[in-house]
Parts: sequence; C-alpha cells; structure tokens
Amino acid sequence: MSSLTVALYAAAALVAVAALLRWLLQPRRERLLNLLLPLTLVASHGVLLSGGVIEMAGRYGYGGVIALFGFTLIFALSPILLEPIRRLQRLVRFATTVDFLTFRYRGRAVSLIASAGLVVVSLPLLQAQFIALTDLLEQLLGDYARLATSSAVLLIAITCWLLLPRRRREVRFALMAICGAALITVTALVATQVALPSFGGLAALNDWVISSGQQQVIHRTEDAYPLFILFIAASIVLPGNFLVALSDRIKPAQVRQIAWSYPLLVLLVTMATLPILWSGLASQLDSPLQGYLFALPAAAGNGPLSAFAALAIIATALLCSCSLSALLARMVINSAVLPTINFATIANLNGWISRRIVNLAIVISVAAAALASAGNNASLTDHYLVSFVGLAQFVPGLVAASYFPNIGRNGFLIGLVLGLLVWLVGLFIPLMVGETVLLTGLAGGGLAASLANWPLWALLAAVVNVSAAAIASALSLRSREERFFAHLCMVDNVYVPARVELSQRSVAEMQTALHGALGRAAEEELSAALAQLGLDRNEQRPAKLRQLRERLARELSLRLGHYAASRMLERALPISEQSLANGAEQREDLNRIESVLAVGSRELTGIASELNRLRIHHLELLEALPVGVVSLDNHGEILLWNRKMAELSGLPRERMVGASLADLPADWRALFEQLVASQQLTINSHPLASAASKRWFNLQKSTEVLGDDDASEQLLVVEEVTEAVLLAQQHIDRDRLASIGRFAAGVAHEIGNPVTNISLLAQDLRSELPCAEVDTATEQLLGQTQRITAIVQSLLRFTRGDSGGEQLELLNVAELAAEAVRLSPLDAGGQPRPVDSQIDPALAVRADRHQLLQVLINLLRNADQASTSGAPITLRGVLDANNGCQLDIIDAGSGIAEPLLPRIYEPFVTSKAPDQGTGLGLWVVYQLMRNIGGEIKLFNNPTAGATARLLFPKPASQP
Amino acid sequence: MLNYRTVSGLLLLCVVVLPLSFQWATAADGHWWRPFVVWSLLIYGVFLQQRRRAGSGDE
Repeated sequence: MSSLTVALYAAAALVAVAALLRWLLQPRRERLLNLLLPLTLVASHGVLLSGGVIEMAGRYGYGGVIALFGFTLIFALSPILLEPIRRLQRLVRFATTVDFLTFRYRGRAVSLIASAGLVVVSLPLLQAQFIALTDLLEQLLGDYARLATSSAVLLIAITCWLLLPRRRREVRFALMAICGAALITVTALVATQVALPSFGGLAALNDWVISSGQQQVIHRTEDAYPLFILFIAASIVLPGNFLVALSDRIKPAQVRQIAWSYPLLVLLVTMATLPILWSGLASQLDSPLQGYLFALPAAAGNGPLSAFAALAIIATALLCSCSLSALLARMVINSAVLPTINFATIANLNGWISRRIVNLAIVISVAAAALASAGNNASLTDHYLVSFVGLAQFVPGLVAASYFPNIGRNGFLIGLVLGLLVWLVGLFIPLMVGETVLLTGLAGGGLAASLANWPLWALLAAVVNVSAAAIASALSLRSREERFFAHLCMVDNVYVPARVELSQRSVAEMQTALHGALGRAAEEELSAALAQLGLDRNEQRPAKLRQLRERLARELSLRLGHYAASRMLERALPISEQSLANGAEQREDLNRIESVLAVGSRELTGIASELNRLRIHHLELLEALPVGVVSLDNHGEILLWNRKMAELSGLPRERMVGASLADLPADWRALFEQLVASQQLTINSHPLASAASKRWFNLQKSTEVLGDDDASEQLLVVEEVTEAVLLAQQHIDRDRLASIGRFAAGVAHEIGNPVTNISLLAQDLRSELPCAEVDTATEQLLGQTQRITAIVQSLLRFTRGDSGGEQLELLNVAELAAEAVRLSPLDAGGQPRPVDSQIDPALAVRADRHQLLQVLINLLRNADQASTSGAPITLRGVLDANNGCQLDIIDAGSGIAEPLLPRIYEPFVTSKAPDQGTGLGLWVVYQLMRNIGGEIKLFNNPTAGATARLLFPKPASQP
Repeated sequence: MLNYRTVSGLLLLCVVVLPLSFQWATAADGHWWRPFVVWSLLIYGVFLQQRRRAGSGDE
C-alpha cells in the first residue's frame, strides 16, 4: 500500500470520525452517549482485543477464550461483587482504586504506595499500546519505517494534549465509543469478508480445523484456570474498569445494561478471532499473530479493510494510552501533590489540576514508550500478562477491605509491597531484560525469572502478598480510626453517620472557612452541595450542616482524591474537639439511617425485611400518639419531633428534626429548657401565651436517659390541657362566687336589722333635737345608712338570685340600650357623654326587661366613670357565630389593672375610689347575666380602655 | 444483606452449571464454537436477570 493511499484513507477516516463526533455531541444525543458506554470500555482495553486476543488464542487455545470470559465476569457480577464499594459511594466518591484503598486503610503512605504501585504495574499495558502502534506504523510507513518510534511517541503526546483537558471529557468518551465500535466492526468484517471466504465457508473452515490438527491445538486448557483467575482479578483493579464499574455518574440503568452488553461485545470480538487466526495460519502469513487483524486483509489485497483495521488499531492504542496514563497521572497528583498544596492560592483550581494531569500523563506515556523501545521485544500477550499479575497484587487488599476487617494498614502495605517485589523480580524485570536464573538446583534445574513461568510467579506473589498481610495484621495494633473505617467498609455494615458537632454554626461560617482553605473554588463547591441537598444559605440546623459537610467531603474526594480532600476539610471544617474526644462512632445519626432505610427498604430480605416492618410499625405508632413526643440529645439537638408535637407547636417535623433547641421559638425553648434542667420529672399546666390565645401544657420527661453518657437522649412528652384548665377555672370561679354569695346573704341578714334601727334612731334624734349641728350629723348618718341599705339590698338580691320572679320576653337590644342610656346619669365633665350606638336594630334577646336594664345601666355607669372627659362610649351589638347576641360596651378609659382582672366579679372588688363605688355592680351584673342564661367577659382593649362583652344565647323564637 | 436466592444461584452456577458447561464446551471431539455457545447463554441469563431487576425497580 502506497503512502499516498494510506494518507487518503486516513484523511477519509478523520472526516468520517469528525462528522460522527459532531453528530454524537449534540445536546440531545446525551442519552445515546450513555448507551455507548460498553463501547468506551472496549476501547479502554487497548490492543488486547485487536491483537492480544488473537495471539492468546494461538498460544493458549481455549485458555485465551476462557481468560476473556473471566475478564467480562466482573461486569456481569458487578451488582453482587461491587455492591459493598458502590454502597460507600453514598458517603464518599471514589475516582480511582487508590481512593478506595486510602479510605479503607487510611494514611498518606497507603495513598502514595498504592498509586506508585499502580503506575509501575500499568507500565506494561502502556508499553503494549506503544509496541502495537510502532509495529503497525513500521508496516505502513514502508521506506520511512525508522520514523515509526518517534511518530508513535509524537502521536501519543499529541493525543494526550488534545483530549485530556477536563473540558474535552465528552469528546474523549465519544471518540472512545466510536473507536470501540470501529474495532468490533473491523474484526467482524475481517472474519466474515476475508477469513471465512479464504476457506470457502464455515463448513470448509470446520473441515480445515480438523484436518490441520488445529482442533487439538485449540482444545488446550492447561493454562485456562490461572488465566481465568488472573483476568478476573486484573479486571477488578484495572483503572478504567474501576472508574466505569463504580462511578456514581453512571446510572443504575447503565449498570444493568453494561452487565450484559459489555460481555456480549467482547464475545463478538473473541468469536471472530478464531477464523482470523486460522485464516492467517492457513495463509502462512509472515506477520506475528498479534498483527493478523491488519496483515490478513492486507495480504488478501483488501485495501479499504486493511486501512480500516490499521486506523482502528492505531486509534485504540492512542486512546488507551491517553486515558490510562491520565488515570495514573491523576492518582499520582492526588496522592503526592495535592496534599501538600494550599488551594487558596490557586485562582482556577480545576484548570490547575487539569493542566498537571495532562503534563504528567504525557510524561508517563513517553516514559512507557522509552521503556518499550529498550525492552525485550516481548509480545502483547506477555505485556498484558505481566501487567495483570501486577494488578492482581491489589486484589487481596480490595477483598479484605470489604470482607476482612482485621486486615489493617500495615498488613495491607507490607503484603502489597512484598507481592509487588516478587512480581518485579519474577516478571517485570524479565519482561524488560529477558530471562534470569535466580537459583540453580543440584540437578541443574532451577528457579528462573522468566515469562514462561508466569503462573508460578503469579502464585508466588499472591501467596507472599496474602501471607505477609495476614501475619503483619496479626502482629500490629490498629488505631481507632483504622478500626472505624474497617468496620465502615464491611460488606454487611449499615452505615450510620456520626452525630458529630461542627465548629461552624451556619452556612455563612462554613463558606468563610472553606474559602480560606479552597479559595475561589469554595463558592462553586458550596453552591453545588447546597443545591444537591436542597438547602438554603440561611440553614443553621446542626444535622443539616453535618450533611452539608459530608456532601462537600464526598464531592471533593472525587476532585482532589480522598486523602487531600479529607485533610483539607479537617482543617477548614473541623469537628469539635469534644466530639473527637468522645469518638465519633458513639453518637449515631439515626435520622439519617432512617432516611436510608426508607429509600432502600425494598432491598431488604428475610429477617431484615421483617425487622424493617417492625421498625415502620413502631414509627407509625410513635407518629400516631395523641401526645407530642420530643427527643433531645445531650447537646440540645432535636432527634424526634412527632406529628402531634408538630400540631401542638405549629412547627413542622421536617424543620425541627436536626435543629437545635436554640432554634425553637422563645416560649417553647424556655419550657423545654426548664424541664430538662429541672429535678422534677413533670411540669403541670404550664401556660404558653401565643398571639391568638393562652394555652396550657403538661410536660413529662423520661426517668432514665437513653444511651451512653455522650450519646444520651432525653425523651419529652407534651400534652395540651387547655380545655381542662379552662373548665377547672370556671368551676373554681363558680364555687368561689357561690360561697361568697352565701356569706353575703348571712352578712346582709345580720346587718339589715341594726341598720334599720340606726336609721330610725337618727330620724328620732333629728325630730327631738332640732338644731343645725344635729341636722348635719343626722343627715350624714342617714346618708351612710342608706348606703348600707343599698349594699344590703344588693346582697340580698344577689342571694335571692332574682331568678324566681323574672319575666322572660323577647327584647330589642337597641331600644333597651337607648333606654339605659337615657336613664343613666352619663356625664363628661358637665356635658352629656356621647354614646356611639352601633347596635343592629333587629338584634333581639330573650331576658327579663328589668334585669337586663339593670345590667346595662351598671355597665354604662362603669364605662362613664372609667372614661376620660369627652371620650365617647361605644355600644356594638352583632349576631355571633352561633346566632346568639354579642353586645359590647366599650369605653376609652385607662382599662382594668391586670392583677384585678381575675377577681373583678367578686363583691367589693373595684378599681374606683371608695366613695365612688361599692364594688358590687359587676358582681350583680355577673349574677343577673347567669340568670338570663348569658355570660359576661371583661377585657382590656388592645389600644385603650376596656370592653364589657355580654353574650346571650340564641333566643328560642329566633330561627 | 445476604440474598439467599443470589447466593444459591451462584453456588449452583459454580458447582453444577460451569463445570458441566466447561466439560461439554471443551470436549475433545466437540466443535470449536461450543465455548461461545456457553458464553452466550450466560450473557442471556445475565440479561434476563437485569431485565427482571429493572422491572422490579431494584437498585
């Protein structure tokens, strides 16, 4: 193929890819891009599926097929195998394997060693891409083959530079999807258009397989088991796989789709591989097996197909190098660089990190290329096998993270380092420099560090790794932090967030603190976290602030890596020293677990499901209680606020749970604080005055504090007793007035006779001694006796109740009120006092005319005496809600003194001067209103003066 | 949570289905495409299981 032809095909392919990319990146194609994720995964494996798989089939027969089957199992079983890690994504987002290992085993050493180890074990993967790229370029460039190496390096560097910046993420994924699709298509086309026709059809191919002895070759399975295990293990740790399988950016529907679609795509590639392999063998191609995908169509003279294959292989190798080196660069930067950086000094943090990732990715790719150039010319399969054995050294740590809580940091690190050392000596160095004999036995045989012995070295590395981890963990002590996170990562653990106390008390304080640590990026992070949680910037509830901190930690972990993010947050948003001293695990945020269970309860089975039903039942009982229930922790945080409590207080449950006692309105806060501080377990009939009315409550607190000292809870029960208190007060008032009445009757009877005698004696004295001085004295004496007589008459009238002789009739209230005004000597500083009558002319009540007239005259007189000079008295009469009559006598005086109000209907209680009133007027009014069947209420007006409100029942004749 | 159905299914797969399938697929006189048949069936099983999960609203 001439260089011109190659250039033309390349140009045509670039135009086609550009058009496809433009179409895919339109906004409405996002859904389609999500569906293309399995294709992206196929491309992320690089030349394994374009060249390595053919070589593996030729070398290991069915062993190679079974290995690739194992490679896809991780996705088929991901809903089960990866669930423990995926559950933790609710708490922290893991971008890489290193983040998860750092989260579980804690410490910078874990972060550094794990990322360095992953870079080293991934180098053979990058080298494989470079080798495949160089081999192909050599064939394509022909006379200029010497340029192949430098061209490959340049291509890789340019691809990284163009595609790795953060803003090109969508383009990179779309290109990888196109590349994956191209690889599958070209493999299928080569198999069906070149390989099968070369035999003359499928039946002829089958005959050839038997006749050529390939049937025995392909049936070899001696290395199938180690290959199967190795590929399963490597696929868990492979950075690209980890990112896709565990990223929470991927929706559950996508996880379900990948579980079957990705294995299907790999199956299609692998199935097409065997005809290509056999066709190449039958054609006796001089190309190595790994180059058959290009060499076969080229040898068959199929120019377009061979160009298509070449471009697919080149694109796959470039994109794999680019994405893999970027992931490795990110791990290194997160582990080694970001923990030492003061983010506040960086203006554009995202851009800063992105630039460094691109630069480091180029360095890693070029370093891998340099190593490959100086390497031992091993095949693609060798590179993949060596890399996979290295990746497998991380599997014990990953498995232990979810299943073995006793494996600690020291055990993990020692096991990993020793396992990697064995791998380095036994496989990596031989890959670079060739076979080395390490030990020579007596019979001349020995242990050779050789790629041919890879199953032995893989087993040895795994045994050393696991044994060292177990022994070191058994011999070393683990910190409380290590134990806590080990427990947190367990597969059967239910995560309950700790109820820790933050140093910040509001979102504004958090923003200030975060700005000091994160610079300009703080605002963006905080806004995103607030939007995700649906919180506003005025939020002050401790539980919500904790939730906000957790969300910030989760998002920052993805961006900065877990270690750097947690260090930064520990500085910026620290947890109070008291919480740390007490141990976070002691105080669990049960409301958060409640919400988690509410969402995920469908996943529960067996006894867990039954317990969940019991939980819901108890919760419903608590909510349905006819009394308010509140639970407080020892820091005053509200943990429970049931439905009745919300009804009693008017404060909704959603707002109160997680809030502090200090966030309550002043009256409720004072009441709860009084009860909590009190030695008494109950507070009875405590009044709370609201804007609308006065209410009374009984409160009780639990006799025993729930939980440990620090995680204690106090249960408070609140019951409204307003109705009972009002009834009791009315009862007491009536009893008191009745006893006063009886007492007054006795007094009136005993006083009446002596007073009559005094009056008679005074009159006798005046007639017998007619002089001015005696006249004056007897006049005064008679005046006072008349006053006493009037009092006695009132007492007697009250005692009789005047209920026997009344004549009930339907009376027009307006007319009666006008008569009362006429009869009352209302005087406003020498002028008749103005009376503003606003009584409905049709208003009528059933009452005794004289008694009601007496009531109105008494009340008008009181109003007159209380009012200032010239101020009018207002009479307002309306129908009330029950069709009864409501008549208000409103004055504009100084009102009634508050201490006097509860006793105002008692006899001899008055606010007037001693010579102005007897204190019996209201007492009489009260009794007369009772006789009528009505009621009187006396209260001060909001502005000035007082109102006497007469309430009459609905007249019997009124409809 | 321990899902007994899943665990039983996996046990059955590992102890019965996979060994028998492996034996059949790699039989010396068998056609070369047999392993791919087994692989296809397993993918179909995963597809059915995921479709059921999607239908029941699990996740």
